[in-house]
Amino acid sequence: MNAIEIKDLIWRYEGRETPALKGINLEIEENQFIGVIGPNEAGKTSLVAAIKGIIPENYNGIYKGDVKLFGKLNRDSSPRELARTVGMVFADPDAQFTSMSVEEEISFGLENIGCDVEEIGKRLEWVCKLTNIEGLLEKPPYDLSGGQKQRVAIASIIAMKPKIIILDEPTSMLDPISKDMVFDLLRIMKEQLNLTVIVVEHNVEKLVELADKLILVHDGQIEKYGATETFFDDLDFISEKSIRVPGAIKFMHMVNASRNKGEHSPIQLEEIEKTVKGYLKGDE
Amino acid sequence: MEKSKIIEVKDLVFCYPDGTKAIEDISIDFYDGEFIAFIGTNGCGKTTFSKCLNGILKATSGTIKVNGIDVVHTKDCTELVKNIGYVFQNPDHQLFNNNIYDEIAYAPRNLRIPEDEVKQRVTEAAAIAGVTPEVFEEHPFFQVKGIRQRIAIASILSLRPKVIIVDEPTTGQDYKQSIEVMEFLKMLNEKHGHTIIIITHEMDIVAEYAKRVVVMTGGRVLSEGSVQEVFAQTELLEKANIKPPQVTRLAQRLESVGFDNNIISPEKMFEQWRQLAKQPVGK
Amino acid sequence: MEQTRKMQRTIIGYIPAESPMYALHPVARLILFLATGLLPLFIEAPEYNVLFIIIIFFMLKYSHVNLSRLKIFLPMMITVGIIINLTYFFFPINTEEGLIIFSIGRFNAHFHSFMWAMSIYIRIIALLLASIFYFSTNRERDILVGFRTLGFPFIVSYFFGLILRSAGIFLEDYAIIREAEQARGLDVRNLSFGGKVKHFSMYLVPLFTLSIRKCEDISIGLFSKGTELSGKVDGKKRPDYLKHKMKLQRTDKWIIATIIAASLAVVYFDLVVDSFSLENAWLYRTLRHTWFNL
Repeated sequence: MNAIEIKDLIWRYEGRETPALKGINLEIEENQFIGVIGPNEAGKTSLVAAIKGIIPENYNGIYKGDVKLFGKLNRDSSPRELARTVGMVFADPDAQFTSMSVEEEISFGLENIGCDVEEIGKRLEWVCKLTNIEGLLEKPPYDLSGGQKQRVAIASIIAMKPKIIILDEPTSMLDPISKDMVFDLLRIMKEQLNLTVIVVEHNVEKLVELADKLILVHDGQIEKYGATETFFDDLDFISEKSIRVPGAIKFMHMVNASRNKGEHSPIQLEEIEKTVKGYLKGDE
Repeated sequence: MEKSKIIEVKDLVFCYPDGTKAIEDISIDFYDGEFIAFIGTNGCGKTTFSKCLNGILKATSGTIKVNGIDVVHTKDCTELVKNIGYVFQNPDHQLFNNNIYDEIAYAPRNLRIPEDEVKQRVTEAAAIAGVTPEVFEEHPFFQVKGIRQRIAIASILSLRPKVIIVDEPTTGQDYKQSIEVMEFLKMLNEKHGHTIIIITHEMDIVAEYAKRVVVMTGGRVLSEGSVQEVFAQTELLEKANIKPPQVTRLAQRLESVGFDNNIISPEKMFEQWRQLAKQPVGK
Repeated sequence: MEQTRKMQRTIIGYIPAESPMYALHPVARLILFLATGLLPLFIEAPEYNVLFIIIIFFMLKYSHVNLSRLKIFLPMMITVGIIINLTYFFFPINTEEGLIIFSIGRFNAHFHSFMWAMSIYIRIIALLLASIFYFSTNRERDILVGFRTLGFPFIVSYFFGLILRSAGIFLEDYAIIREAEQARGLDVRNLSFGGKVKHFSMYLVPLFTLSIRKCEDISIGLFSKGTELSGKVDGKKRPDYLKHKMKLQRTDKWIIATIIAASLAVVYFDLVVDSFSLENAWLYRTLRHTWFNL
């Protein structure tokens, strides 16, 4: 079943001349891990905000087209129904931490969707173990680092057990260690939970290790949507769209181009290492 | 070519009011015209260190001299800001004024510079930073982030400081925007002779733009040197929780088959591949 | 490498990392605060309020609050004392008795005014110390749970919480903005008082800029967690996990009952028996006797 279906979606913010989304058509199957890449201001955030229903609910503008989640139009759903289906994590760890302790922060969302208190207790225990934040429960926001806050933000969404989780640039304000920790959580979500995950992320190097499929958004449109493995085959096309291509992938492409045998270029570091070693052995 | 020292740091210690040591015993010199990157995880002391350099934070002990001025003991902070400027990460923290002209003119006016010279400096700084005079009357708040960042840099440039410290210039920016701001800093460095210090987490940016890297951990300088030298020290970097750029890591994984461990660009890596695979050059 | 700290930061100040107070339910602590802070306002007689102050000091000590931090309140306490005394010196009350302690020029220090000033001053100090005690032993979340348990609606306590949270973010921003201004060559030390006020108004520009941007983020965040500010979910009462988790213990109930009984007693003796009025106070009568032989 399709988790998400978008049909002819057009969205223009009030007061802007050009639409942020210029006719999006997209189908995402259940339990897929999707990476969204593209330059800033290209419409990535607008796209995921439309899936979550933030657009048109929280902004003024012109909205045309349909967004369906598991077959149901999301503009027909209340915020609470939407929260039960889709969870969303944002870039700024401070702005999404609205209570005075981690425990409250996680239970807040659960209270919103009407979990009874026993269930909240159980889920708190479960999610803290899963995301490894047990030691932080009593802490207030100003005693947490940005990375810890972001882990709490993700935990608070996982605890609500939505079927879809969207993360909009979850690592853009974090330092490398915290970035890695967030990616560890993403791996847990992929491997241990039955979830459709959509991640907007600039870090292509990390994304290709996790994503089943990638979406390239550019100028309000979906320029490319396909399997991660073959996504970078036309490297020039990707680079033109202002995407930072990881150095090892670039190198791999240069090597294969120079060999001129039409070989497929792998994108993960380990495979690149193996391939290059293989080439050098074979050439001897 | 002998370059003159622009910043001299000796036995620097900085403690927070509650007594925790943030900087322990740093001694290092920086030279006029360098392009330097401070790297390290959050809490390693790189931001604290750079705030000590321009006197925002008062060092607990030790000496810092910027262009001959004793930063720790000087009472005259106006002399100091003429020599060393600091651009904060979020432009919204540093834009105080109601229009862009006043914003750029703010710092020179603080130094009581006569108004006609202020005007000259604003025009100059705005031109370098790519802020056009047509927007001078507009409110900084309504500009897009890239422009706000340029205004923030221009408002420091109008002080004409010898050294400019920029805190995380590329955070939250996409590839094209990152390149733009880094090319701009490179231009300030090469064309206008400013010494640039960036604080960053992005190793690709460091590899591409910095000439000298300072690795910090636990309030100390763990290592420093040219980009190639530093990124080749795998064990040391691991200690500081830093991963070199992906292409460097690939080269290091392939060291056993003949690659150098200090390659920092795909082009360089490809050159070496050609030698190793005995491909004819120029194909 | 987590350091064991003696103190924990809150938005308002510091609280001890460990304290016997934490065994009490937030609502018991809140009632204790209301009682210690508000009861002195019913009591005019200074000696009882001094007793209150001594009790609060014992509680501060007992709760491991760092007493050296009280020093920062000292200038304020002294200033308030001077202002109150000067006010009643220049604008005396109940002068018909004609009991004058001393005179400066045509101004007389009337005995009753002096005693009244002292009574008010000690009440204010008691209220101040009670507040310090409360905010030095309660974290923000304790305060919120206390309010919610007392029956404040979810929305009220939630907004109060958001305000506390925003205050925290606001203060963090404020610190960075001051540094940023310093980096632009502003030497605050050289400014006159008027200049400082003017400069504070300049900080408001970035502070509001940041607030507006953050407000938008926060409201979207709340929407995405399915927040509906009705206090009801699907027609049922909104669950409250923290309130459920922190249940009143026997000790809490005893303490609350004792405090309420004691408060009622004080109010009774004050309003009906008039035991705590200034004129009946032991200190008042003793001083009156020593100075004027009345």
